[in-house]
Amino acid sequence: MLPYLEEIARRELGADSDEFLQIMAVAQSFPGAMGINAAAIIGYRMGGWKGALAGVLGVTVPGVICASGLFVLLVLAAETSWLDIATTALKAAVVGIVLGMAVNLGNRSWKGYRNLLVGIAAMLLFYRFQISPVIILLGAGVLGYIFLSTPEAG
Amino acid sequence: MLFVKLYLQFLKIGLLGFGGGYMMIPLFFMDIVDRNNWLSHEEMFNIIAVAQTVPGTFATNTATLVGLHMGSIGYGVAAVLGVVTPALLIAYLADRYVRPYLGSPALQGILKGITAAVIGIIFATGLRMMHSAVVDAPTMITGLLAFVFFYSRRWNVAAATISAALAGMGLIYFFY
Repeated sequence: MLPYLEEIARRELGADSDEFLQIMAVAQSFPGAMGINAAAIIGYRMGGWKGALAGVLGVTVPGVICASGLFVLLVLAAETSWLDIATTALKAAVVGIVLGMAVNLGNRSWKGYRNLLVGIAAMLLFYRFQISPVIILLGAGVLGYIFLSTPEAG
Repeated sequence: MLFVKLYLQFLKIGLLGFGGGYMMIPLFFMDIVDRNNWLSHEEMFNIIAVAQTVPGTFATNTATLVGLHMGSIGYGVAAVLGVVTPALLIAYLADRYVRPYLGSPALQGILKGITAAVIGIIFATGLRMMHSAVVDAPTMITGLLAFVFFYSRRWNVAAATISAALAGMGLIYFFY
């Protein structure tokens, strides 16, 4: 998705890679899927709120159609035994992906022991004590403000 | 009004989904399954697995499927609109008013803290999902394959998921 977004930003907005990286930084720093955020920002710069809406719909609708189509197929196939095998295998695969995603993100952004401590604390609070993610994120933001605001803190 | 409730619920999930769609997984389980009882844990897990394998963004695919499971494409549309609303706000407000301060140490510190916590929560979510999805040797090999395929960075999420799942289907078929 990212290469396409970069091409659109370059072609339609005349954005260089630096400007695109800035757009991505905003898209990534705020909640929501990065691709949707970036499409909204690029769309907004191209054509105001209508552009933002068009950008969001553009990245959303294909998936919505595919997902709906697959849903209909799955309902039709609901009685077959291979579907059971397929979902069992798919779910196991998703576990591997989610863990791989966490390790990947960790490799990229944990540059100091402070980040690592916050991450481990969040993991334990959520996994062992089932604390709400809302509270964990708020706490992590405060800890980040206090302990990670210096450039050398990774 | 279920449409409005769905919209607001997905708006909330969208607003908390720092770091992309994966942070939303625990929120889906908490809000859609535990709090509102709209779907069972099993159904939600299936939806998450399917949403990841079809093209498009994970968050909106999940929203679509949750709506469809609840009985209508209209619910799906309400959920999708809810989960993309933050993006529209970001395009307008954040890009214009927050971007100049994005480099400030204070904001960077807050974001670093949140990012670190998001990674921890995603890892914990993976462990929790493992308990219900990895039940025997074939499912364990499938999960490991997906991890390795994805972690090697040669394949994207969908390609890694589908390849591992196909291998897993073969394993389950021959194992039992």
